[in-house]
Amino acid sequence: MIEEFELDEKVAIVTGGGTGIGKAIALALAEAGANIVVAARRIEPLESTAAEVEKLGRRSMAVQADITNSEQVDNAVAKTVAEFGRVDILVNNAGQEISLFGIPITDISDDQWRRGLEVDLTGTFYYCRAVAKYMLKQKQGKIINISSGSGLVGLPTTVVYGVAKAGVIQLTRILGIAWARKGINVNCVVIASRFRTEATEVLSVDPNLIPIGRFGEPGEIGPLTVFLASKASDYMTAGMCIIDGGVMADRFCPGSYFPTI
Amino acid sequence: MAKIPKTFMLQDKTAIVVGTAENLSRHLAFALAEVQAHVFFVSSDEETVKKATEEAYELGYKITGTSGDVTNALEVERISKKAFEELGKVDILVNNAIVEFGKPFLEMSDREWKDVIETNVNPAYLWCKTVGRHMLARRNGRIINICSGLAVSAMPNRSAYCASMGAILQLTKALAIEWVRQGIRVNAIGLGWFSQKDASETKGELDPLLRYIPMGRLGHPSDLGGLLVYLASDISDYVTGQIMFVDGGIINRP
Repeated sequence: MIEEFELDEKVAIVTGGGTGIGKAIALALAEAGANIVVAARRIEPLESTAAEVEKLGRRSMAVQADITNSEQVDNAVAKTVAEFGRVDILVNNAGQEISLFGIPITDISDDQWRRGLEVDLTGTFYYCRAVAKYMLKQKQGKIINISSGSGLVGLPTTVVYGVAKAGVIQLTRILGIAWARKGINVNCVVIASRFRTEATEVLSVDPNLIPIGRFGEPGEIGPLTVFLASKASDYMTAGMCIIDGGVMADRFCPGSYFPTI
Repeated sequence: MAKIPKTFMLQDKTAIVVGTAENLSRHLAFALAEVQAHVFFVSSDEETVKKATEEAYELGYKITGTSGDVTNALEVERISKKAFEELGKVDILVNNAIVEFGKPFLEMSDREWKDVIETNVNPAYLWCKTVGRHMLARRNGRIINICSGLAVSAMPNRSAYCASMGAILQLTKALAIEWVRQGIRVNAIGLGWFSQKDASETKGELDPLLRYIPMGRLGHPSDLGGLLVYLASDISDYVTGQIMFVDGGIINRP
């Protein structure tokens, strides 16, 4: 009837697992029983997350890896398999939205464009490619890509980030179909609303513009990721799970939540 | 017994599951009951309800229910009164009163068109009205409408069915936005090709279809429980107005 949500000693890599949503995901997976590897450019926040995972009674490891460097990405995955024997779950969460915020499109340099794609799209591809090597052999694996509503709608301040995140959605589709008979599920969580993290604290967005009337909390991404990482979602692949407080269903009328006629 | 982290449990929650004479509704009712929800199961088929409640009793799950015409306003009124009395309150509503139908568009009679639309859309309309009213008064509720890939894509000879699925999807989004500030969440689950049985069946005539489905198999009723439980629980509070597909990849295939 109901498949298992528990992650039962599964080995999960969470990129960008040191802060914000990545950290919340790492802890949620750990609470569901997984052992966690967190990877990112800066080691200190990762070590803090790893310590919290261990407090939950799970094993954890912090690995420093620059997502734009495929050699470092390959090594991070190899280290995971060396330490834990396998890799069952990959959560591609690392990314940076804020860095190009507020820059007029015509002022974006070649380098900023290239870098934005590297961090927010290419890095995800590097990690998918790296874990697939093992998951294909295992004939089992769960890949969850974290994308954004800016990959679905035309938000002018996200000309690089949005394009990269749209690319992540499409990569999810393609890999999901490519590996559908190989025991690997590839899905994406599309965060299409403002979530309260350190990174987004600097942005002033009125929560009333969101149909639900509040920002999302990082902890809310956890259970959805656990579900997509578990057997309970075995027949889902190549798809999007949009979590957005109603934003995407509310595109046709300004402030349509406000009671008028 | 499935192992389930605490966050996905639905103890102290109550649910109404509405279905027709097919197996999937039964599995949806059991999925919720298995995580300790008290379920009131409504089906147009008396046998289905009887078997479900008996089996639930054996297994120690809380499923009660009744049968009736789920497309009829007066019947829905009568049955929902019974449900409210038994459950006390309603946290979750699952609409799965869906009937298949196929005919070339021009061969379909006015009557058949009307029947498909009414059979597939009216129950959701009626149950969302009666239960929605109750949920609005409590400023709390979860509605999950079972839908199909045919709400966003199409196939020949299914015009009425596709139209009805599109209607369900849009009703889902419209109610989600209308009621989001009153604590109610409304989402849809989009099914791919599903079997009524749990075991894989590979009849010869299914082979072209199985080759076409990226995952190479039909969906089983047990494939739906997880997503239903997620959408029925408080942990998905930020998800509303959405459809998530359980389809072996079909809606995204080339």
